[in-house]
Amino acid sequence: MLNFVSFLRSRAEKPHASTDPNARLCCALPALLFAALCCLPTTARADASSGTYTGSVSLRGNYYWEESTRVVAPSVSAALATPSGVRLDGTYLLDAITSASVATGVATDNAFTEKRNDGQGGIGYEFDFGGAQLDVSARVRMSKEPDYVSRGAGLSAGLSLNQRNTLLRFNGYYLHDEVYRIVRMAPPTNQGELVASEAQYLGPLDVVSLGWSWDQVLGRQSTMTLGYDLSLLDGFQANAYRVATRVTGGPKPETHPEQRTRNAPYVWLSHFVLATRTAFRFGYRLYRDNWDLLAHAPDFRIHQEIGPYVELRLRYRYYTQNSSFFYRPGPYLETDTYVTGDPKMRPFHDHTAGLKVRVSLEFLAATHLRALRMAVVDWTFEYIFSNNTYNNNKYYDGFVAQGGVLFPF
Amino acid sequence: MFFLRSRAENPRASTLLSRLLATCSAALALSALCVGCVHVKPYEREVLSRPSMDPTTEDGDARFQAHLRESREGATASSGAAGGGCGCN
Repeated sequence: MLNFVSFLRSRAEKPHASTDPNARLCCALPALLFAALCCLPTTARADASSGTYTGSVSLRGNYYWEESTRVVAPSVSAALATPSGVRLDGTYLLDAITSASVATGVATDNAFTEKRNDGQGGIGYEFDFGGAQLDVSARVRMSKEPDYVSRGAGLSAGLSLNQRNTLLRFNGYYLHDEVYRIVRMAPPTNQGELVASEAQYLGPLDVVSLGWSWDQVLGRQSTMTLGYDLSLLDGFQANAYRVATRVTGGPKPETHPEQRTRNAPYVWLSHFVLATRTAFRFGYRLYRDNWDLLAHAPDFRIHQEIGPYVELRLRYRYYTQNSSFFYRPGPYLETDTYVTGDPKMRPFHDHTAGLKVRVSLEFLAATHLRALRMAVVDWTFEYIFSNNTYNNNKYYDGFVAQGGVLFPF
Repeated sequence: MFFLRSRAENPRASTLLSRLLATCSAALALSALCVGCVHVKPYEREVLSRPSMDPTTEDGDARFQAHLRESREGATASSGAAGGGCGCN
């Protein structure tokens, strides 16, 4: 794996090869798969009988708040299933991050806003073998902001067995990131305006993620999902701006190990109670990596149907982790190889409480707005109570608000 | 391979990882047994097709929330790396 990553890195360091191979990969992979799938003989598909195109368009607004950061992130998604069974989907998201955190490259108290463009697309097809179905898909993604560029591509396969009572899924994903540093300072002539420096390249980060999962129908009202994710990271994994305090010698730029192996098995159990029209979902995720970080995250959700059109979801999630092996609660020594100012490397726990309302607009069928009868709108609100703190001892609480509308066609 | 070297340097992590894999294998075997016992016909899955039992109805929310968690938690989703400008990594 290291050889593979090193090979990719050596290519990335070459002039003219830093972006071109990845860009070509991102463009060529879906194009080749699409061409291959278009040449396949059509088998029995859900949409083949009607001979129509089906799909959906989704518009979403996302908002996040914490002590020093605000994120506003509108997104638009579209999905299309062709009569031949080929599925296409794409999402574009714009992240507008307003922050005064030193962790984002601000050298003064002024807040600034940075934009991140994130686009991804996928293509898939299901082969029907009668007793089993094999679903294959490919996905590419690119995220770009002034100091961080991320490109990724992946493949996944899902094998349905036993009249779709069992679904085995496998996926692999490769990600190549390029990390830069931009320092923003207010010039003496205008203290109210931040001026950004030239981007300084700090290094790449390569990630290979592999995962499998098992979806199993346990009964007419119960399902189970069991899965495992493995990620191998190689490259720059510190924050480009954060510094760590030392006993002597002043602050030192954050330095994290360059290799990381992340393991995350998880399970989900779902059960629907007919009498009350309530769905209970319980999930648990265990995480362990070779930085000695161990985390547990149980997640409990109750979905309550209210009348024919409304669904209410209550959520509680608990998260707890210990510290990484190089974290020190006090200042670092001169001899420490790795230093960090990252709150994520500390031991802490979070409680997340959330509410979601989902409304089907079918009740508009008998009105002048019947064109919207298939649409679904939803709102989500979550608050994260944390015992983790910033360096200024303020709690690391967070608030999330999301709203969206889905138009199927 | 770097991750094998890291495990060799850290026996405690290696032992825990072995336990994790053993637990997953046992759960997998248990699931395999379940497959033989359960057979719900397609026309009996009306309840399972309801939005409240379909996790994909939460994909729109989950994608953004996963990105936020990458900036808050050390045990991020293992599907990728965090972005930089928001101080995520």
